[in-house]
Amino acid sequence: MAGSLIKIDEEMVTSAVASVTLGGSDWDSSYDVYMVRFSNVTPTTDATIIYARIIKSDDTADSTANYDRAIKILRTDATFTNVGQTNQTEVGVEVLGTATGESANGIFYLFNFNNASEYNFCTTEMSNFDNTSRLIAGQGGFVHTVSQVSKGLQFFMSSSTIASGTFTLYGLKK
Amino acid sequence: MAGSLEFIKSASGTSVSSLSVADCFSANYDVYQVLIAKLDSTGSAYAYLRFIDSGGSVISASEYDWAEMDLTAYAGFAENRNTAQNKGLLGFAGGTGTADMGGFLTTVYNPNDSSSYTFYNGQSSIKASSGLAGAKYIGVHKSAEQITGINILPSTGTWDNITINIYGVK
Repeated sequence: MAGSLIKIDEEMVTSAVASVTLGGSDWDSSYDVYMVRFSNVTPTTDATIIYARIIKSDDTADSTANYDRAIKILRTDATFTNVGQTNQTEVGVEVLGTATGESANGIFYLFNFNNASEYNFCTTEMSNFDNTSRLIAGQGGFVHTVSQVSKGLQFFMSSSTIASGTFTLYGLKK
Repeated sequence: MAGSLEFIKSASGTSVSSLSVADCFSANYDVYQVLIAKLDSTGSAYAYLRFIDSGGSVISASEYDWAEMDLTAYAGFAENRNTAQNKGLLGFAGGTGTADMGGFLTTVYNPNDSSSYTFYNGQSSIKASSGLAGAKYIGVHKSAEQITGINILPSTGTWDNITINIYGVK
């Protein structure tokens, strides 16, 4: 019996790129729920933020101020933090650095991306080592409050480029 | 296209101080799912992990950082965090009966990559004597080395019964 986690798109960054798009022209609209995993993601420039945006139906990233986020940040250095944001133009994933071991790793689930009458939702689970070599990661989710069909996620840095990492998009077969 | 969540191997034990799953991580996958689907202990224990190095040794050096939140139905949520520990925390492992145990699902990142740290995160749902007691947790093994397996141990006592299933995310 075939498995039910179906790989749709994968980008393995081995030399610097400005952004990574999962889906877009490679999007497969056969699924209700999708999984995105990323591992060993590092930046070219120290202390830069990796962000995510939704890919619109025209295969471009949606930069409108419609991202709401609510997460619990687990961390080793201080009391865990609640973060709630509304009407953002992107979703912050982590502040990354270039020292040994500093990287981002996580799994997101995407909901309603093929439904033009629903918002696009995403759950987030991560385990990261940030630019201060601190274990830290936000667990929770975000929503893009526009009813539209979307075609994946884009990852990009606040400045400079993504140096390395593996990004994979899967569909969950019904 | 073939499925991308692939069963690798399983291990079980009874009346064991810990349980290892050796040679479950390889170059075939970057990311793994570790599922503890059967567990009961002799004491009211927390569950921890240790990784296994390329020589087959369980790593007990002070190289683990972790942060964990107890999600309890009967009390305020408790936070646990630490650095430079000799094992990585997963979460509370429940009471002493099989009926008290739900499960732990842990994602492990980059274990085979000798140039990166090995990360994990996950969640659990189990029952303590006072009620539901799940957890959300993250951790890292802060040594750039190849990891080939995993060891699950209790904070106190032994595992009466434990089964661990390992899956690769292709």
